[in-house]
Amino acid sequence: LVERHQTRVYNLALRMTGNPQDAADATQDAFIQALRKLSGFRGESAFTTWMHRVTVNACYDILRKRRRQPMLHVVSDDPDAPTHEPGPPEPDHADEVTGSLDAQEALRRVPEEFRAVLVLADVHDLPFQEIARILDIPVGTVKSRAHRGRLALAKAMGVDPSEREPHESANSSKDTP
Amino acid sequence: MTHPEELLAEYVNGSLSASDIASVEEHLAACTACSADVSRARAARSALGFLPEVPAPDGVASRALDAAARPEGRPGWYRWLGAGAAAAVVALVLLSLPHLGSAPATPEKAGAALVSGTSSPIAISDAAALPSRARRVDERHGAPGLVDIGYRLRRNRSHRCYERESGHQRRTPDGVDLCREGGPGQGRSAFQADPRTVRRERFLPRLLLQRARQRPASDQLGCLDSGWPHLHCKWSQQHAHLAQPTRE
Repeated sequence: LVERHQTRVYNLALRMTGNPQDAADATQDAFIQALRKLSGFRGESAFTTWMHRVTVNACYDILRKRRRQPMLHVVSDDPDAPTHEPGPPEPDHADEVTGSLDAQEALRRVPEEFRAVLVLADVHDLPFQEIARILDIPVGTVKSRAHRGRLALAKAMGVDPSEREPHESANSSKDTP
Repeated sequence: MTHPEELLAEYVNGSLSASDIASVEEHLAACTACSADVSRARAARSALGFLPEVPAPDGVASRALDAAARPEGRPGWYRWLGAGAAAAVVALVLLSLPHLGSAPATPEKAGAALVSGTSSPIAISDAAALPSRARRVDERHGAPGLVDIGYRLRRNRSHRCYERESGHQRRTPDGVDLCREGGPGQGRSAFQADPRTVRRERFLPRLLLQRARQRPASDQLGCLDSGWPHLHCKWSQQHAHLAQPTRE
């Protein structure tokens, strides 16, 4: 069970906290909570939803702690620590790596409540209904946070739509023949 | 003009019905602000979708399991996890050792040795995954067929090992060769685990060597003379004592 969830949980935490060490801590905290209450769950899907929830909450806790102790926010300097970030760009995917680093950095500038929705919706590609269950908020709130969060992210990334018009995406424009 | 944020979010997701799409697009045609926002939102969603999935660091799960199992003054299911893991290993050994009748060690002892005798015991999470992974494909002892002794090891990699009289190359779901047929050990592929995939796991060599000991000399230690020099070097040094024929 733990193995089935750990990659997803870790990645959720990584995108929420933006830091591998914090993500590992949050992952561990989330699993500890989850495992202690495991017997209360009937069915995998309820557990998955809850697992996401405790992960997001564990990330909020860690982010809160970090705000209180900004000096302790250490970039891992342990040479043995595995590196989790993409690292040096691989030759074939240099553009993608650069883009993803920008997105990760931009995510950190998005307010946490919006960031949680963005990570769940756009990184993990979960439906809004499921995100509403995970975060225990109305689905309308999820949608509006998704939209505003995306705009905030685009702003942090410096996306300028005027450079992109007309719509570049196939289903985005009714004018496209 | 009110801007339909919620619909726009769904529009960007591509989860709207055809009629909703039509009404959103009608709005977009009239509202340049929303139209630009949709472009921005699409760019953001797309950028996030390109963030790579990163493997969880080693040991996160097992540390959590350890921490969850740390006594808090109340017994929990996790107390039984260790016993369950040991039982799972015993079950695996039983499943994968059809020749166990003449084994020098009892199944329980063999299982216990696999767990407690390793200096770096397999993580509970690894063992806990075993029952679902291990299955006997062919019930008939000695008959041609598969004995699947699949495991899931650390780092979320599945490793499978098959024994088959005829020998077949097997790959893990993620494409890593674990067992192969061919070479000097043709047909004894259960012994031919590629150490490059498993050498950090003590579990597998012990299991394989346990099994090797129970084979006739002519048939044993396929892993030690399988034509894979690195396996010979690594494992024969580390586990040479296990490879000795038993006195019985």
